[in-house]
Amino acid sequence: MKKRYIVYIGVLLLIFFGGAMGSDPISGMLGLDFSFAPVLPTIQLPGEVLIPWPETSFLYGLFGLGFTNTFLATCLSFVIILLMVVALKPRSRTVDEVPTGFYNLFELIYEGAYNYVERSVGKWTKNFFPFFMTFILWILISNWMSLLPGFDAVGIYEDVSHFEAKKAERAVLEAGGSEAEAEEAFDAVEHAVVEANDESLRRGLFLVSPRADEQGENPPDSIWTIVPFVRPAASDLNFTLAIALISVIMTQYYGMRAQGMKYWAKFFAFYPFNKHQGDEIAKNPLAIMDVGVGLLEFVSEIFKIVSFAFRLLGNVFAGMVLLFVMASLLPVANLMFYFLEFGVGALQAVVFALLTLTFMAGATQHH
Amino acid sequence: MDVESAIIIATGLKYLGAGLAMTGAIGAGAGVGIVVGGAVQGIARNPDASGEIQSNMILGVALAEAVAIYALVVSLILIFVAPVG
Repeated sequence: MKKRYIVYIGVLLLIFFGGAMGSDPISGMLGLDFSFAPVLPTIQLPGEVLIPWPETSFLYGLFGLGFTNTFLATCLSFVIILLMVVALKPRSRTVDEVPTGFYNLFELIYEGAYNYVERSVGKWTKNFFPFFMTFILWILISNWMSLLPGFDAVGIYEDVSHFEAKKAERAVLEAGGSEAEAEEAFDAVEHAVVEANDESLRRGLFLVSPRADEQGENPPDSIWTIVPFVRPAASDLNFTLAIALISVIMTQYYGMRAQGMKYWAKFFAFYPFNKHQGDEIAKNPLAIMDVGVGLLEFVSEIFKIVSFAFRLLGNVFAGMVLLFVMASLLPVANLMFYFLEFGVGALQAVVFALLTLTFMAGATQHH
Repeated sequence: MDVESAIIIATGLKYLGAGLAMTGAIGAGAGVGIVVGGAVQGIARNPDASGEIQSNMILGVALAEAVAIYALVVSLILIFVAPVG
């Protein structure tokens, strides 16, 4: 037991020592000719392309321009979930044993979630629970995974001019320009940025920022950037929009399964205009309001997709940028924001699943 | 005015717009405060119902917070995505 505390104290010391090493003045005092000062990674909304697809292959265009770092993170979260399945499945067969360790924790979460769903939706539990648990697990794992060291921080260390030039090249290609035109744009932007910075072109794969160049001068921070190998999966709109679409479309499906075509009467309430109920408007002029309210409800149903997608994207992307900026300003301060992101990651996973459950339960109830 | 100074002014206005977009967080902050305040009062009056109140509170907070997130996305798009000129 006591050994454990020694490890805790060691980890804490390591964090603070690492943070001190990360600031330029302290590593200078120690007489090092380099520092581990974190470099601000590139901040852009779409995932950075790691491996561009060959232009002749069928992947190009159909699956975007290349293999992005956010997609790599999504694949990693699949791998972790599959590993969990492989590790947990054999344990579930041994009924007599008292569950211990990680299996016990997982069973606690699973049973808690199952009981909650059963209390809220009753006979629909078997239908809704898979969605509920999948959303929680997948979003939770992909959010917490992004807090591991190496996410965002490790990548290709690049000259800004090269990075900006590549972005311009991609923009031309996306707009349908030829390869020669793209190369021209690449050269033009690269030239312009190099001119502006008055620096020679440098790029490469470094994990430590070089402290001084040949003339003994520190390179200005602004001309360096990192293109991370992996970025939080939910900081890409493709990930969040995909699960938002699944959630909203399946809500409509279960609504129709519970009520049949009557489900759509909630949105298109044109009953006051029915011939057989011609006097409906005369009897109750307010019935005309139902038409407007129904259409409004339909719009809000479509807007749910946007709301689901952007809530998750906004939270995760903002957290990512917060960690980036804090890490490059004051490395030790990052420690506190890690706790914040830990909570936000769990909260967003739970909120996504809870909202899905609530909307699905609402769709199956007649009103 | 030449093109360069026009681009500089446009960049400045872009960041100003991003900052102004975040005023949308005012409403979300007030909304979250009201929701949590109501939930705490409810729990204080009826501690047995705290589980149900809490899960409803989280839902309400998430819905109120979404507005601030829209504002945040708008300002992030203004800063990182929107082109100048």
